[in-house]
Amino acid sequence: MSKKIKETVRTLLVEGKIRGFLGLIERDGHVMPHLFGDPQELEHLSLGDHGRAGDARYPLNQILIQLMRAYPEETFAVLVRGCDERGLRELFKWQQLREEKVIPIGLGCPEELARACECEKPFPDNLLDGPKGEKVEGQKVARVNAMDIDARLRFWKAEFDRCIKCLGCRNICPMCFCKECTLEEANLIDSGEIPPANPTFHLVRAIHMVGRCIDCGLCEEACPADIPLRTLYKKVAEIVSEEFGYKTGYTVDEKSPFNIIEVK
Amino acid sequence: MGECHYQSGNVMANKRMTLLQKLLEFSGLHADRLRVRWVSSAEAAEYVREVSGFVEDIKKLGPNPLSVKRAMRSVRNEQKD
Ligand code: SF4
Ligand code: SF4
Repeated sequence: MSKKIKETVRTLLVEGKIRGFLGLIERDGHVMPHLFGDPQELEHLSLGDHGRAGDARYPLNQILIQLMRAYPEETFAVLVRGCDERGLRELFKWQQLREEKVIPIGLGCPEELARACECEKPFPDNLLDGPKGEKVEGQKVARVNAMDIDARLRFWKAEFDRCIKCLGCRNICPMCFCKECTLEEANLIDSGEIPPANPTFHLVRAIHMVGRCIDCGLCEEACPADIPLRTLYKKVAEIVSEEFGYKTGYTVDEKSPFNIIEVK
Repeated sequence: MGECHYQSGNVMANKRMTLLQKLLEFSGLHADRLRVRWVSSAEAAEYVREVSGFVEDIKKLGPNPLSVKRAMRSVRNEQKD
């Protein structure tokens, strides 16, 4: 299935249109991020499907930010799924990446992955390969919405109290780019305490993800305590969409309601 | 709205309050535990009314279910039994 992608990237490299292609490589049975500079390496290209569809995804856009800071004048191509493309759009708006220096190589996700993700749009608009899948109606948020308020408190308390404050959710997040992080601000979040004050700790992160979280789900995959973080951030997205009519990453020009100052 | 010392500061704060209230509700805490009102420094009576009203309402909701002190007290009581 990666034939189209390989050919496109090969041409870009050969014609000198890009300095490199940020994608995934399979080596010794492991899938990992890789910057392809030599077309020959493309034979080991991976699309992030190892055992199951999309089970070896990485925050490539996070690596891209680092790359572009080091080589601001170069152009790079990057492998994007639907969520990653939404991420690119927001990162352009937040001025973390320059649109004219990024060439997205779009990959659509199979139904199996879209279901697991409860994905609203499992393909990028810049679709080069893979299916143009259907939106999947979510159950995760609805299930918590349906509980009564005391049950919700018990549910989240049990989930959050397993937190070991490893900050893995923040570290893996392709949309977390701040140099200083509130979660490490001792005046706001007590240090040396496990679990951290809850729900404060997790709600702080959730609120900071408004206009950034593109629902890639990597945080939940990374969490060693299996906290359903994606459910929390999906809820944030639901609120922001219902209350403010904003959907993160779906438009190129519109900014998050928390970033624009308007006086009614 | 907007008549703020920080110009549109209250507009921005209000958006965050809306989100936080909904998120508290989702996390199992009554949204009424969080309230925002805009009162000018020249409106003392109004200020008192708002605060007293809030205290009354919050008392009706009862103690914060997340209060650490309360949890410790109940543990101590269990140990006594
Ligand atoms: S959220 Fe999941 S299904 Fe949707 S685009 Fe990303 S990886 Fe694909
Ligand atoms: S789903 Fe998690 S990792 Fe992905 S953008 Fe949202 S907060 Fe970041």
